[in-house]
Amino acid sequence: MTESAEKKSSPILISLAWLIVILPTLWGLNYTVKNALKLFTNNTPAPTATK
Amino acid sequence: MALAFLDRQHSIAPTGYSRWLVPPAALAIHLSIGQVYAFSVFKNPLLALQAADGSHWNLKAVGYIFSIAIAFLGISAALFGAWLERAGPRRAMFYSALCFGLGFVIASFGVSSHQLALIYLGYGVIGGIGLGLGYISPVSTLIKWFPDRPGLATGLAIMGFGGGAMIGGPLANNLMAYYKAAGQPSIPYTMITMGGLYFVFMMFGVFTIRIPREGWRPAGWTPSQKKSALISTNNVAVGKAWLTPQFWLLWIILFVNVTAGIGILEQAAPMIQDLFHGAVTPTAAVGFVGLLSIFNMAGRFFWASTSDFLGRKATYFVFFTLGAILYFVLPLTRQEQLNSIPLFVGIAVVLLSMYGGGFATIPAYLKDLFGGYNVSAIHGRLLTAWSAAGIIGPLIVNGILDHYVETHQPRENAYPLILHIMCGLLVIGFLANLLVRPVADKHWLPTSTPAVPETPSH
Repeated sequence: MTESAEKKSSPILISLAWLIVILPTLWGLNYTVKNALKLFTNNTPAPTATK
Repeated sequence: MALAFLDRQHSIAPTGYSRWLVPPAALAIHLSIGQVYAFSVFKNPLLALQAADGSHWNLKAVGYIFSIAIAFLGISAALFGAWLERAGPRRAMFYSALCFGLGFVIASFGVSSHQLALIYLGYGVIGGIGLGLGYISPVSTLIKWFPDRPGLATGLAIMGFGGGAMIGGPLANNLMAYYKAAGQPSIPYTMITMGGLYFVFMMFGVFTIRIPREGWRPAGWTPSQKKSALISTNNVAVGKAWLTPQFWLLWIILFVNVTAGIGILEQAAPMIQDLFHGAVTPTAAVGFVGLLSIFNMAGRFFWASTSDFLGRKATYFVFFTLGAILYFVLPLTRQEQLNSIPLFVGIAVVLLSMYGGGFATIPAYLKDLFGGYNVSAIHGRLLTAWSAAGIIGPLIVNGILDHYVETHQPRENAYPLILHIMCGLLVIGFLANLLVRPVADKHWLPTSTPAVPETPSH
């Protein structure tokens, strides 16, 4: 059998493999971004003159 | 032989196997073992535990769990790197999964019986060996599958290690909350569950990983005819590589890059609160740590893949020039001076992206200098720089902070000194990078050397 006639990895299989690692990463990223946004809410720097 | 499917010859890719299945396999390992960066979520629950005699563990004793794990990461990567080259990535990944999962289970018994030594042994020593094996196992395989983009390939995998904390942190918190609500012992049950989940997830990597056939090349790709003196077409065995000046210059480069990053990472939450008194709540400070972890992860992919175009030496020059300038400027953003939280955060995230980038670009730098033959083993030995930085970095940061507290000086005044020391370290890194030259031909392996190391290369 020639190389070109050999069975190639299915694009569906490749997509599934990537989904297996991407989904938990997105879950963690979403959780982290939600926390990180708290840095920019209700945070007004105290004016230096008051110190 | 039992477990023969783990052998190198059983993991050779069939014709038509897509190389794009290999990065998810590597990511499954790195996203799992990257959990170690989120170990701090167990700190407070562990400190709150009480033994039968009413005693508690202190912060220092609990802190050693993470330190032991990182130390054993470096030790095992250095010791088992040459074995990994012969045994193949699948067997190494399997042992990594076994050690990492088992480490959690043993640690859970340590928590249940309130024996810290058992946690040190489980999560620290056995889990740490799993970290080291897992960290280096996909590196040379990825480089072989992606000879056209080695930086992108290793950057993808090592990005997973940075992202592992983003999964491990919330996973542990949610599991502990679930078991607590169910009236079960929350930490031991969480650890056993995580050990099982990570083992299964890592086994996906074990079964998916393949090594390319001898002589395989990406379709339509031919090695570049544009010669760079720093990209060797020859190979150097690990036993010779670690005796070359190039190895030790790269060791210094990794060491200073990691130490400087730890200068921010070690104290990120208290630092931003100390430098901007009253303007940053503890919740927002946790958000800042999260932001740093995102840029640490993204930088691993961005900088490593950029290095395929810029070149490794030029990429590290960016880290060490831009990094030194930014470390110098960072303390000037504090409340008493520029008083700019966005500027402080902006600079810190760029610095953390370069910290991650330094980790992720080093395997490709090693491959350029020493060839792909023993790159995992050489990378393993180089990771001792990480272990050393993991000890020296916190010593510098905590030592200076302790001195300021003991001498009743404001803590915030310590940060400019700490950050300027990190700036100085990056200047040392700049000089080390400047001195990197091609490896002398006396160290090269004969061109007839087999593709797979047959004997210990020590």
